Amino acid sequence: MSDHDHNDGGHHHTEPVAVAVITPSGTFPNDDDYRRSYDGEHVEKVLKAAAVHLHLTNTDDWVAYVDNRPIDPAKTFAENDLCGIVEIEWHKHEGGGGA
Amino acid sequence: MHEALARSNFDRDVAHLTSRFLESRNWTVNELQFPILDVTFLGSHPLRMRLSCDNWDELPPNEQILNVDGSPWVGPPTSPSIFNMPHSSRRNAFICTPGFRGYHTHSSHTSDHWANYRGKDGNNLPGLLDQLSRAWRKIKGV
Repeated sequence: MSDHDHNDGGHHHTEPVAVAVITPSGTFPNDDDYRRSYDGEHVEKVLKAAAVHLHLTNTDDWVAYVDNRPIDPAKTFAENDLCGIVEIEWHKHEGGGGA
Repeated sequence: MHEALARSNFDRDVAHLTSRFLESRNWTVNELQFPILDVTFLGSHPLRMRLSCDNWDELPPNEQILNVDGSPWVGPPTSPSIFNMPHSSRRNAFICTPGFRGYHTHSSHTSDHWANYRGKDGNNLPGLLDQLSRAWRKIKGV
């Protein structure tokens, strides 16, 4: 599991979280590994790192899910009730319908 | 569009359909050979999408909505009407959301061109299917 700087604006970090961000344009950190994060870290920080790694430049309307449950990237992993091994599905929001 | 270029674009996109990606989405691939991408969204309400990706990505994929056994999905149309029928010209079921040929060729949407969506992040082939899969699971409550 890859490590990183987990100083995130003074939040308390207690438990490590193993995170993968799985998108239609690739997986962060890669297809075989997880990134070490901490439960006090905001999810959006990991998503931003994934966007840079995967060369995604327009993710404003993307949505994040874990186990088919939407999560709030502006909140921490703990605030999203996420711990342990976390695989985030991240993709563009579905469009509406109507003909 | 030259077939070699369409094939190259197709291969570039489907390379992202790794085992980890498919497992995370709970999809299975039924057929994957240019120009066909045929995927089933598994779960309690499975649905199969068969995309013909000729001229990808100059044209959006031509979609067929199927039952798991390959028979045509016959509705009823969902609400919201992303999985819709009948199409204004081809008369069968179609996807009524940007990114699919059925939408962009429907008489109600011919002014909303594929060029508005082509090449944007999340609109590659796995990304378009991601949007459909999410919509289907939301509609079916799974």
